[in-house]
Amino acid sequence: MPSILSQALSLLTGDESDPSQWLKLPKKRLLKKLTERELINLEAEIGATLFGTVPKGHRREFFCLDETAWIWHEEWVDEHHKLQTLTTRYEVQQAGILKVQPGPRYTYIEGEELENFGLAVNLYYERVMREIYHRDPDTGEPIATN
Amino acid sequence: MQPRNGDQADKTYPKWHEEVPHGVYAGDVQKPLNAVNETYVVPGATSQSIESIGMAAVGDGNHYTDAYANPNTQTFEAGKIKVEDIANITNNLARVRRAELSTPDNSGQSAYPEAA
Repeated sequence: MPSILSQALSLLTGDESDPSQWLKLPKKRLLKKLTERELINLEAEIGATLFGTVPKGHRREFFCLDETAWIWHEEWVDEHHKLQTLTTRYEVQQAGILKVQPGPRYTYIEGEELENFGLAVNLYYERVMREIYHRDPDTGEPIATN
Repeated sequence: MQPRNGDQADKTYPKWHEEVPHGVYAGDVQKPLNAVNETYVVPGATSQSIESIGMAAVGDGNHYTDAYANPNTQTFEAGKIKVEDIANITNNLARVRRAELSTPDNSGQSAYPEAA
């Protein structure tokens, strides 16, 4: 006997086939329904954790935007209760990593900052490949999950 | 965002080159990239604090070990970061993401052509 939910869905969709068949989530392709923006958001959640605890009242994102750029975005409320934001774009160029900040300010990062950026990129890659895309960071091949 | 003059900008934006211990904030902005070392080179850190960031990481000040370790331990050596490596990683990430969006199924097709 069809459930009330099934009957309601049939009425709404006009499809009398068993809803349990088409309501099933894909088993192998959990990310398939996500948009690029949603994938980036997932990555950004991991990126935000690479730098330790986010200060209270701050919101932070760090993510790979595309083939050539990384974004650091931070929001916080200042002592005057005004929302402040800072977005820094790191452009990967042949000559180096160009840091672009509002102002505008353009500088190639170097020294410790470059080291830290490189470490962050490596760690981000490791975690995003394993935790989101379930791929081996070295080979790119899918990692068997149970 | 409005263009700022130098004085305003200095108060608002982090001075990235300065050394600031992790968890210490100068003004109103953390110096984020300086904090990476503190996260993964954790002298005296407890396993709990390490697990809280999802990595069993250890470091001696010069090496950073991702602990998904066995047998694929990734060690990032300070002083050996190359822009070329960053470029390759960035490119691979974008490629894998695109592949996730476009691959019709998960039937073993590599989303990582370089690995072939």
